[in-house]
Amino acid sequence: MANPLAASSANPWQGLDIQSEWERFSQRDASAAEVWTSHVWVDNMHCAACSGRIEQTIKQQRGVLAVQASAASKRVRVVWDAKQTSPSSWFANLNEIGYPALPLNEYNAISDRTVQQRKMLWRLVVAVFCMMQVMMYAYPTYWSDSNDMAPDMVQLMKWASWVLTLPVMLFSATPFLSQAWVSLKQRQLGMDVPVSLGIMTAFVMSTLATFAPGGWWGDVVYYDSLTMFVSFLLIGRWLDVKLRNRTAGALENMMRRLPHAVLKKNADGEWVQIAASNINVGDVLYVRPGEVFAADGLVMVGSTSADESMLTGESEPVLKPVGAKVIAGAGNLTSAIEMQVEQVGEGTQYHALVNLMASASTEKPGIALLADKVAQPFLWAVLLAAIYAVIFWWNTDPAKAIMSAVAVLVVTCPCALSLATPAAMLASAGTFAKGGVLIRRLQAIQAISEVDTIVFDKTGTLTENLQQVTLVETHAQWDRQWLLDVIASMSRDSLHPVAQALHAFALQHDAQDQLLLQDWQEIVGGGMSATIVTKAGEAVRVTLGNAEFCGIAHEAADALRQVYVATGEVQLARLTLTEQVKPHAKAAISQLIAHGLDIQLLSGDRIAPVKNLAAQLGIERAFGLQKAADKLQHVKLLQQQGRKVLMVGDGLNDGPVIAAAHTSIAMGSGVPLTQAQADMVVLGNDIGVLVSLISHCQKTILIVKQNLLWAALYNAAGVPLAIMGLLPAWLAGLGMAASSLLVLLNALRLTDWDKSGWQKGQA
Amino acid sequence: MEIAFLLIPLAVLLVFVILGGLWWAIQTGQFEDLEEEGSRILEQD
Repeated sequence: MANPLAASSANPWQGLDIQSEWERFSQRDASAAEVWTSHVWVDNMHCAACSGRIEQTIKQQRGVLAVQASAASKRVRVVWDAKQTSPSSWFANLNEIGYPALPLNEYNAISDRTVQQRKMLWRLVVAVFCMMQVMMYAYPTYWSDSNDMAPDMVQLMKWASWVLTLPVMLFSATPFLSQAWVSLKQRQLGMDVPVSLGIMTAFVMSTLATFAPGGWWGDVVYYDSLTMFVSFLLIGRWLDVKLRNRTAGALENMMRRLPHAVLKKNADGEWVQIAASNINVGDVLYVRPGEVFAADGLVMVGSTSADESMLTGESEPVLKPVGAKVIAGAGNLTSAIEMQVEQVGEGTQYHALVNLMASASTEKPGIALLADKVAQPFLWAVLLAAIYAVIFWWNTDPAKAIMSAVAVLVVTCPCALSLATPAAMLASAGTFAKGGVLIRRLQAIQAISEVDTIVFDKTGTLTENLQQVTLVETHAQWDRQWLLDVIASMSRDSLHPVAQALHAFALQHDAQDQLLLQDWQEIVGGGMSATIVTKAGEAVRVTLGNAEFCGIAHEAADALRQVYVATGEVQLARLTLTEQVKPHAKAAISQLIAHGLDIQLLSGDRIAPVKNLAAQLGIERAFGLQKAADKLQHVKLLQQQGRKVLMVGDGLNDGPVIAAAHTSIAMGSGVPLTQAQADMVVLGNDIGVLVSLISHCQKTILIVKQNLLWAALYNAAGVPLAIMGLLPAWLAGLGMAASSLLVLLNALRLTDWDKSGWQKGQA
Repeated sequence: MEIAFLLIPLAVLLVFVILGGLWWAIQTGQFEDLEEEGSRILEQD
């Protein structure tokens, strides 16, 4: 893929103004044709102040409708109108204010991240290694009497320290210095400004003391504090980079799923290999087993089964006969097929999913918005405090005045404050994603932690989509055991969930699935048929499937699902399928009740089965015959009582209810993710996850609060000490680094997610 | 103690030599994957 940035012209981003180029990282708005949502990657966005500045500046552009910058994931989401602006103009604007952006298409970001990560590690290594050497030369002067060492020896050590500090200043610290310079030019205040001011002042003071001792600046050098401060800052950044890459990596793993090259049938009917980006609608592609479908389309030749678990949560392989729809990102499991392409690239369900996750990671939770708001005034307060320290001490001791100011600048470095929320939220989101829970909005973590009432939907949420089988009646003249053998044999090779349930049921009743079947056929949406030799030696055509397929008259009103075995139009056996409660449902519900949550059940089903299910699960309040409007009414009533309601459903049929509820989780397999409106989507079928999910959300918010409290307390204690001159520069640096590390490590505790139940150690 | 006047500059030089080695290690990706490379030797191809 050509790098769109390579084109050299007055505006280097002009290459992006072609629609096919911006389509690579943008998505058309569903409601307005000319409105696009683009995701870009801004590498040097480090703190709340930066993201605030980016939002402010870009929003002022004509034609830019909305901007959302997330320092935590380094992504910016821009909604813009193609009639009024073009990507190149806001790309240029981002560059002007010192935040060069990259379009967020996979290749750029990945290689860019490797380079970025190496560079950061290299800066860190240089700083730490030089710091250790500088410490060695600082150590003797701390612990010796002034007469122990010859003055020229002391001087030599100062020179050596200066030489070793140079790489730290000129290389390791440059991200902070250059970022500060850029924001000063913009007449704005970023977190790097006070930090750089501190670093520069300490370096200038020490250099003067080394080469021109005896002035008002004294002859004390601070190379050790300086290198240590830079090292600690870089350790914080390094951990930060690793944490982000872990989240970004999870996203990119999904994006990298699609193949890069595919086999396409050309005009002569030959198979040629083409790049996946050149697939067009209407192309015929050859997909081998084990490969991933590169586009949405229809099966033309052959039949196979597909693993769509990543896209739909359906854990069973899905049968794909001729004419069936296959989706990009799903895996081809059993055999090679030819497919005709219907949708490529951004139009596919797969891309919608990837964009969904990308926009979830840029959205800011409420607590983070608070941090943005206080960042600017906080930085001004820091500068004023530093100036105050200088004025306060200047008459007594100018050197002490300057170094007290440095201590103020260093100790308040707001890394901890700006990291507190995003680090914890992203750590949890990443952990959830690994455990099969996707988050659409980061706010959901906060919302779920606050709920006191959970309203469940029944089908697919508390009960299995897979059914329990009962053999109701068999034809009097046919051997019951032989019929079971027939059911077992005919359903053996089908991947349909009902057939698998039948097969399992028959085997439980001692059936053999080895009958000889001739012309076995499976018709999607109907059933199976085959020719079988009976015990009497007669060959009969047997059908297994629904009433229509078997040609049997049936009463439509019956709620239970019926499956028939028939030959001709004679019914040989009738089976019913009933809903089965999910394995962990009872345990999950009782755990939730034990933790003080009010559980309610709303279902559109008849009252008797709903009450029955509620009794089985220990739910006291259960309501049947609830239409969507009734459910909505019910949830609103609960909210009027001041309850925070979590709605758990299949995320599809309950649209208005989900919108009204405080927050929502979509459960169960078979839910098309892109249509699900819930805040979180639990892939797979295990309702037991819910318990640990809620407790993990509570733990996340607890950790966010701990982090914010810690950052606030630390500043409240550190600033007065620094102004009073009681805090030497090295201790200030240590305190700053320790608080940032503490916040990050605290957040990293969230990467452990014990799915087995309510997590201990909660309030 | 005169020897220190030779050793300290030498030590500073040595720091830069070692940093050069670390630079090579980082640029060739020695620290990119600390877990998998160790276990790869135990796995069959």
